[in-house]
Amino acid sequence: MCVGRVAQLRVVLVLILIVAAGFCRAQTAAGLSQQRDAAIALQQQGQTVQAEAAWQAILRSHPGDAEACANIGVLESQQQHYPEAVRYYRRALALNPSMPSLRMNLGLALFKSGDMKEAALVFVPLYRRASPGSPDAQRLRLLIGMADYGAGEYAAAVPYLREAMARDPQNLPYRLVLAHSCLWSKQYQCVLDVYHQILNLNAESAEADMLAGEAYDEMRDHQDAIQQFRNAVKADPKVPGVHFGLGYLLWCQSQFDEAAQQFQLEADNSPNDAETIAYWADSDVRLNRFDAARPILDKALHLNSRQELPWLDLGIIDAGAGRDDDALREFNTAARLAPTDVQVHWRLARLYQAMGDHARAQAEFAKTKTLTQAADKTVMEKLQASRRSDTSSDNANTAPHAAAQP
Amino acid sequence: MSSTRQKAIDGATQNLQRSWRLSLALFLLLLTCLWISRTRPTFAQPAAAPAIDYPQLVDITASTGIHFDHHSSPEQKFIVESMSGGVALIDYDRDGWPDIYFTNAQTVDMARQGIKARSALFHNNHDGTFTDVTDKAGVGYPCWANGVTVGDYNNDGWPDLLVTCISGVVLYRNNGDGTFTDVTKQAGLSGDTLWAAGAPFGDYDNDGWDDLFVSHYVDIDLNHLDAFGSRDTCRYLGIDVQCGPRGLRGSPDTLWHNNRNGTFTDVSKKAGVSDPERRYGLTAIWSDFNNDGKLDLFVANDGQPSYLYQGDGAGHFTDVGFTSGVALNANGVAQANMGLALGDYLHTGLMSLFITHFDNEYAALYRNDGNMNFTEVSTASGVARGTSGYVGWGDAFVDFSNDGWPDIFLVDGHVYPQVDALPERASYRQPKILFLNQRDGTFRDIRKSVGDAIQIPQVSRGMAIGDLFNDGHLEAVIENLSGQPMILRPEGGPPNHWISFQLEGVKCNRLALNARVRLTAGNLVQLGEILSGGSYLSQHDLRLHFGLADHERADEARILWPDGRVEILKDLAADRFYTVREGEGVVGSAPPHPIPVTHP
Repeated sequence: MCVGRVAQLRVVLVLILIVAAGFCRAQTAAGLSQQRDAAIALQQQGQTVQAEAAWQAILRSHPGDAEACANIGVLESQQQHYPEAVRYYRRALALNPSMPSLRMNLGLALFKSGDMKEAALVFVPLYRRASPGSPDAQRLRLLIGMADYGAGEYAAAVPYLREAMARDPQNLPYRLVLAHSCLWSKQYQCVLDVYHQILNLNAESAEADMLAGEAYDEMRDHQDAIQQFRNAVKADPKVPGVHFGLGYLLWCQSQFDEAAQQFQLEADNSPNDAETIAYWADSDVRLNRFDAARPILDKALHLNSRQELPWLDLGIIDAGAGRDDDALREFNTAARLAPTDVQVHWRLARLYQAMGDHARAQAEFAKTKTLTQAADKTVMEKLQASRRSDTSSDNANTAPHAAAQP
Repeated sequence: MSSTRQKAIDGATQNLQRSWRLSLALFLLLLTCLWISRTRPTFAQPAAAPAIDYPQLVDITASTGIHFDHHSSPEQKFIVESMSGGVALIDYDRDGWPDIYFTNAQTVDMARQGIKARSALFHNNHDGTFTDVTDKAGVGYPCWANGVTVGDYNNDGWPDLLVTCISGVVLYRNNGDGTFTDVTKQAGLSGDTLWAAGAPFGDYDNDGWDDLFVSHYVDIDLNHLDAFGSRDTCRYLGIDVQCGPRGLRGSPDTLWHNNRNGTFTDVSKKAGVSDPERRYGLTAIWSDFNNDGKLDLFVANDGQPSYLYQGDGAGHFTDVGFTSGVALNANGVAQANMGLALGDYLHTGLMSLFITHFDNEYAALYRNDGNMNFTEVSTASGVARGTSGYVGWGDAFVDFSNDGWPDIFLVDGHVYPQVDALPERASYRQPKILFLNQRDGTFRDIRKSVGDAIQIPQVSRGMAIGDLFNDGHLEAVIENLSGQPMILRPEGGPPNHWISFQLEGVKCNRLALNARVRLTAGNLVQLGEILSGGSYLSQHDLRLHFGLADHERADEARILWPDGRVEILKDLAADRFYTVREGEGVVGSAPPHPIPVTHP
């Protein structure tokens, strides 16, 4: 009988507990709902810090709340705390992979945090699911193109940007990005095509001229490259690098007089650009204007003493003036900074020879010869590799590659 | 031609410096999303160059009666079709008037069909015209001919012809009766089956007999030529072009010692000039570059370091290309190295070198500083800027104005006809270039001040200088790869005096190759040297011509014969042709022969 009563009491107790638990749960759910409403209200009022605190409170009591994680991600993103935003978005995604817009937000946070490669990985599946003609698809094309561009995946960026431009022909800034992606993925005709599209839009852009100039230069078409940079200078002589670009092309064509003028103009725009100053001085050295070059060289080295070119030029000047010890020190510094520069060893060899140090001269001549032969050998090896590749591809049953399509 | 052109295709450019700027500019652009259109300002035209007192170079080709067409395929799909075109001035009948020999080459299609190309010898009629005597002379079909030089291999006093071919060389012995005989086999030269380019005669061992150096270019098989545009090395500016030389195997060079019995022996390895690295040899030239009385040898290698072989006078040579500073340009870069000109442009008594190169380079001037030491002064002298963008070939230090200071003349022409299909690029046909010696180590580009003829774009290759009409003015004979040659005659200009020497060796080689004349006239002290070969695949007149400016007499002509003998002639009247025999002084003298030239 006692046993029976005890058993009855246990049943009652369990029932009481069940009822109590149910009551408490109802009370908790009501509280969470209130907390959520409050957090949303704060978020909508733009009280970011308070809203985040509210969501954090929810998250403390409900660690598995995907919505809280997602909203904290949004709030972190609004505060430009992108790595934190990414962390919360990823947590939310783990809790609820189907939450709407979450992947897009994650991608954007990754993009804005500079993690372009990861951003592209997030965007691509979204793009594949989007309707091709939808605004979302166009946005994703641009985002993927820009993410690939930012990640240095220029070839990958081109088809997305090209498609985006086809659907938005007036978007000139992005067209420039496309041109640049073409340039860096060595699709030079693509650069020129985009450039002409820009011209067809009646737009004049120093940047576009410069890109076309770069493309021509890469195609070894120096005359057109120079002309494009001249156009760029005319379009906007203040664009960073425009005078440097023209000067450099002229320098490469041994037109040192005009190159020096362009480098000087670039230096006017960017007085502390060590590279510009170095090339300006070098142009003067090439023209035997040693007196003019010297102070410019000093400035170039003051700005950046780890540039090879000014040391080389100082060596040339001092060697020409019979200051052999100075020249030797300068050439050796240049050689340390650029050990594979043939010119340095060539000049060192000539200087040692003039100084009567035939042993060192021979050693430097040997280096010069080796470097020259190595350059030849590289080309020959490339060619032989190309031939081997051709032969193997001729013989192999290779499947056609699927063209990369956006 | 140039393997440097291929470097342009293969080589990494130095564009990084610019590109990061563009990246930066673009990112800034994207961040701000600004797009600003601007109006381009107008720019002023450069001022016209000041006028100069210089003869006009007039195209007299039509009036000479010379009709010669060098074969060329329209597309030049193979490197063998783009390199030929040598011209020699040779007084083959010893009448005192230079005659002209043009080499000709087949196209690949012609060769495969067994069709030969006719080279041509034109006799100087002494009246401003020439007559084709090829058939009588028997020099019409030597081979697939590249270049030509003159020497006297059998020391009989009659200048012989050496033709360089795609497969070896052909030696034509001058029979002294207006005919030549192919003696290649008898001379022991038929074993050479390589692509021969430069082939200067020179008596390197001073035995009085002309030896022969033959530079070889690439190793090709006409039956297995690389297909047009088939490799990375067969593309230029993004278009398909002929393949080579880069990517092709080079060929070694050969030095033939004259056995004094009409035959030659290959002594290349023993002499140290065999080119075991197989560099792409083009033009070669003998001279005593350090004035030590021993003959040296310069070999221009296409896109690879040049050789400068210093001779010890005993038949051995040491390559001093690197130590002398001529192997590479001032920046340590091997250039295309095609045509060679030798001259004392500074009046220092030292022979400097002018070398033509490819269009992405510049023609290079190597100043001879003595003691086998050269300095590349292309930019400082002003020749770099004027020659960048052109593919240079035949060249010479030449005094068209007779002012006593050698100017520089060079002819140009691209190797790829396809460049014409690219708008606003370097054209296949290119003008010639003339630099005026400003007597201070610098030169001024005067191509636009000496008449229209040299501005006519052509695809030129060989070029030879000589006084064709014995009137005291030097003409330029240019062989073009496609079409007719061009003969330029200086007309007008200052009425300067001149003097000319034909030297005859007695103890030394009969043509007095590498004999030098140091001529003094008042304040003018000039140096000339008789050279076999040079320019590009060509042969200048073997007579030495000096402009004397306003000097009516030469105070002294100091002749340094190749065997070391020195002969001094005093007080020579200007405006005459002198014949000087070794040890005997002047044995003949003639006044000029003014010739009215009828222009077309």
